[in-house]
Amino acid sequence: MQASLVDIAFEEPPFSLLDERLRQRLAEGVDLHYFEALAQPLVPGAVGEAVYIIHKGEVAELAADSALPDAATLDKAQREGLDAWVSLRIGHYTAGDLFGALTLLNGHCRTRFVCEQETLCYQLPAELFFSLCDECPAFGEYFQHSLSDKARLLAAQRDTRQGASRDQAGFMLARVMDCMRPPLKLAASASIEQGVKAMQTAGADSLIISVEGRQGVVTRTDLLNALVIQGLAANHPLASLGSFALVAVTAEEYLFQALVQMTRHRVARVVVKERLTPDAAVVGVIELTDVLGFFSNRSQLVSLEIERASDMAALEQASARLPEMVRALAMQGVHMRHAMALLSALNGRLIERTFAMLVEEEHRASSCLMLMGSEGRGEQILKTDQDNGLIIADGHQWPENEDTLQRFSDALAGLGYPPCPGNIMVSNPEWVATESRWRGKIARWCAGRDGEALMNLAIVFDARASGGNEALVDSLRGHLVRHATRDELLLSHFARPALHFSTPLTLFGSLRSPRHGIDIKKGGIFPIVHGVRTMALERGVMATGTFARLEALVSDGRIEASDSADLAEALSLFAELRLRQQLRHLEEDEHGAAAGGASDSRKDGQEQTTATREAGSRNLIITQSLSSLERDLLRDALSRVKDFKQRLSHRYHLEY
Amino acid sequence: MDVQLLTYLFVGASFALYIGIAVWSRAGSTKEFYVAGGGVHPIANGAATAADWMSAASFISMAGIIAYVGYDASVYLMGWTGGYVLLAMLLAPYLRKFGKFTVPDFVGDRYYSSVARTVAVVCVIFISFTYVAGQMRGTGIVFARFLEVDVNVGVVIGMAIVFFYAVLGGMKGITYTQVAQYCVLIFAFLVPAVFLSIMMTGHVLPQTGFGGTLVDAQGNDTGVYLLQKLDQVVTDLGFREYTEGSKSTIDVFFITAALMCGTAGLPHVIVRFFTVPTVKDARISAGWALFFIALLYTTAPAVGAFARVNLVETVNETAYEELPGWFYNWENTGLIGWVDKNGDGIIQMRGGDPFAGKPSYEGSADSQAARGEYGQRLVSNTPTDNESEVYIDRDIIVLANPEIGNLPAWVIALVAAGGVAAALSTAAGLLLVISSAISHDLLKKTFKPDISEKQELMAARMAAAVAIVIAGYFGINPPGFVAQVVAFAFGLAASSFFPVILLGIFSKRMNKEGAIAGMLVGLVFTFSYIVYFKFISPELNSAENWLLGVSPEGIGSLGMVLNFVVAVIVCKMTPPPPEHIQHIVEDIRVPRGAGTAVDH
Repeated sequence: MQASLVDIAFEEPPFSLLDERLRQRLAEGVDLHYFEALAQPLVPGAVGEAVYIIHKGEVAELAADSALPDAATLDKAQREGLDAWVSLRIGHYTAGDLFGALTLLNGHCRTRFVCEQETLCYQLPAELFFSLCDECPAFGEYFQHSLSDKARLLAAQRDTRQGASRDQAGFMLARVMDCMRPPLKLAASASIEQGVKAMQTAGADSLIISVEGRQGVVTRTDLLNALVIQGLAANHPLASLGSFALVAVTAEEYLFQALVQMTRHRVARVVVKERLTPDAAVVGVIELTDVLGFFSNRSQLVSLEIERASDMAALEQASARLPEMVRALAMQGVHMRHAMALLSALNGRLIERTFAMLVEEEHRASSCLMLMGSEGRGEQILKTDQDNGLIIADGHQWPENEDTLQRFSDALAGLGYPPCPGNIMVSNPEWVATESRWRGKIARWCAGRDGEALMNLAIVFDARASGGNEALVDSLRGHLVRHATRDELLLSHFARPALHFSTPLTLFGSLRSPRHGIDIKKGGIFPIVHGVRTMALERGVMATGTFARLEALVSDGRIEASDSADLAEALSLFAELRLRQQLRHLEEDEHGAAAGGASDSRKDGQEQTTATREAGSRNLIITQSLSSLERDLLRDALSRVKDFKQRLSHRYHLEY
Repeated sequence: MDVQLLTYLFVGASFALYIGIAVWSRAGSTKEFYVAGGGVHPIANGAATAADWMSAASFISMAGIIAYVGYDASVYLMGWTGGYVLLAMLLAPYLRKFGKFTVPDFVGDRYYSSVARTVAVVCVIFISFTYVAGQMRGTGIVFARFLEVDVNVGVVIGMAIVFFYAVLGGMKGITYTQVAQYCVLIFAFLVPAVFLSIMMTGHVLPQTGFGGTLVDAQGNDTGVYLLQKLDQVVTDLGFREYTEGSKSTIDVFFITAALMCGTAGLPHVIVRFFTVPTVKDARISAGWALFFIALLYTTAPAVGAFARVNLVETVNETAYEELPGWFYNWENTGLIGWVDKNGDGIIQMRGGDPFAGKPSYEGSADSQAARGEYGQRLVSNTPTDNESEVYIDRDIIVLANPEIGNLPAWVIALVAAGGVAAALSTAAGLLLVISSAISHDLLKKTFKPDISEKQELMAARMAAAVAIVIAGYFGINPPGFVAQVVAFAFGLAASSFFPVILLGIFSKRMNKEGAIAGMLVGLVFTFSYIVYFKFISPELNSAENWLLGVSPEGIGSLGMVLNFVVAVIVCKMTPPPPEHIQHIVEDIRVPRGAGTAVDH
């Protein structure tokens, strides 16, 4: 094309970054193309061939799964600025803008580009584009940057858009407000009869009453019990029947968070409040049945199955469904943080139910099962090794506990939680002790400070109660915090393991790419988890999850909100990459198992080494297999980790 | 192979070794998550502590001072070694139990007072600065010699390397790098000493050679003791007898005490004790560290004596043009200067300074240097009217020793690598202490508690950069009063926070009023005494005017005694410290309940 005829805004970035010679080359290398309205220059999955610079016209960028608009809608939208259409757009490009660079850098297109009207574009061929990037690094970098910004935008939009609409997104992204019912409020002085009638008319399962400023719930079951079992008269007032210890959520929370609450507190309904304060008004109610109505996939019924299971066999069946569920979550692109919360609540319930089935009530009341490590933090997605311990209240006699606990550990192994290689589980008497012996252990570990002692402290500090008398765990962790918060030396030794592994970035900040992959657990996850754990210990933050700890540390003034958000984002990314890798392995294993009994002939020893190697490789991310966008995000996240490690090293005096 | 090339090779190889260890210890993906850090053997820890402890001052300057000053210099040996023992046995185990990383943190918490903390921070910064400035001078000398540049350029190169090494490279935190540094420096110190000992006395151990008799070139015993010969040589030249001290016993005692107590508070070594995980390991490694330090310290007097004898025999009454090559090399770095007072072209070594101050030359760099009739660099200083003609900087004695003694080229190269190792480890440690004292103890804990972690880190780096620039400035322009400043630093440390730490550990009744009053009295007394004799009326600075015959170098001990007395009296008259502080102090010394007493 003749250079003098080309009308490109060379004074605007990114073209302003090019020098005269390269601009000339660009001008000579482009072609003018015409697209009619509703034409699609790029569709999802298309291989990019060029960058488009709009000369005249308008182009919309839509998510891959959004429906194509018809001419009439478009026309209307053009004239009236239809909100629905505008909100559907991820991007909007007009004269002078360019698009398609992301596609070229990524290898293929992930979104849909639609011309909103007749459009004229200059086509900059891929070859020329890349050679310009090579010759002028600033020009290339421009795209890299706007790329990572855009990726974030894309993810954010996906989140909100899907959350708002029940049809588009799966259950996982629905919010409480999409599902809740208006509360049926009655005066506390109303009679049972009035209550039953009101429920009948409204089709509700529960009512909200208010007694002396406290709000309570009365359910159909409560009313039935009152009439039939307690034999109360139909004109008896409701006031005495309500339960006032309400589990509440807010309307903005994800629906599954409500499910998590129901699972955790073993209730069939939660109330929705404007704020999570005791005096906030109830604005809605969510019933378990409503939530179940949202289930699109049978695998999500797991939580119900766990609740209903009456024996170990039923629990095993429910447990076997968890991987399927994880896969569904991963495919729907659920934010890792939420997926972790859901899965850990389910795993927690599974273990708690098992404990309840195998241990007699009398012992359960005077002891507490602790889930530790990643289970304690609520950050495991797939089932991991059993990491658990037991606290027995001082003075409680339970001589035959070893047998019971051995059976418990075996049962967990049956549910798919492999025994802990470090033998940190209740079948090991070392991890079963009375309150005062636990305190002694903690004092010893605090003074010991060798690798094993520090690891044990870290494990116990992550402990979460799962069955039994939960106060025991709280008091033990409180004891640990009192021991550790003022001891700068202990904190320093405690923090050191966070620096044990190098961040897989080169000296110049680009991603390392060894052939066998980078270890995302050692290079990314562990430093964040352990660093945040150390800060939590320093400040006596009692939350166990890394995300919750980060939030608590922000409100404590220990770290900046922006740093906390960065770390949380980085951790989610690592977890997501790792999960994908693990799911791939899981599939391979299943295929491998299906392929036949060849493994039987292998010797045990060989099997062992293969298993160990595989366990390691589950954390290995082959960076070459990621898209350039993902590599970009990974690099960003890892450099955050690197900064974080430097701050840790300074704060805890690790540079000496 | 040529000395120059070998030096590059040795220094280069030692650096490659340190960096290699750093990379290897970080790269391990085979490690377990928690165990990796705990697995350092106490011997390795001891060696690492020794590397921190032995500075360029120990490696380069101490033997030089002994070579020149003789018996009087033994106060440094005793003071510094004693300081280490005090620190390892008396202070570190208790500070450790208190759970505070830095001395200012301990003082601030124990005396529940930010005034006390601030005083301690200022002391720490002051001492560290003095120390690090000395290191920079040492590093500069090493680089100057082996890169054949001026000593000032050497200092600048050293500054850059230390800054990168400690602050940006993060290599300081790796125990095995320190171990490697110790190995390099101790070999570099011992090998030439052993060579010279065999050549001069026939003893393999320099320590026994020091007290042995000299042998002649054929290896026959001459029956003359080394020290006898040295006394004779130096008195012949008009110096004081080598083994004769000039200081009074009480003065020696006070100076030694001041050095001991001052050194015991050296922050970068205290920290080293904290990085060892368990108390038991800390004790064992303290023992090993003492052994490793003693290896060098007991060799130093022998090295000093050998060097002095060789130096006089080689240089005195020799024509300038017939001198060995090392003399010209060091002259080019600006650390040797000769004025031919009697115009005979022959060098005379005599008692007294040849001219006022350090040599300053006419002309600048090598090529433009103004040369005299024999090719010597011309010195512009005013000559004194005695017969002494040559200035040889004390700090080059250890480095030049192998050359003076005609040892093989690789030994000379090894010594260069050792000097770099010694200066690097200590300077880096001190730099970190200064930067965290300023950013954490001063800024975060005292003046601006609301700064974010990022800002704190930035402040630490800036503090390190500023510190190294200032230290470098003093390395390039050593003020005429280096010795005074050092006396100042140790004296102030001894008189200000040594008593406070000790009382803080051993007396639960000691309160903040007592501590602050004690510190102030000790500080003001010592400060005034030194300023009066060193700066206001230096002409009165002689034994008959001193209080109780104690020189300004030793007055810190007296200030310390005053500090103790005042602190105890004030404390008796004021209310006791809060209940919880008393409990903590009791906890430090008394084993906790039987179940938890495992750390004893």
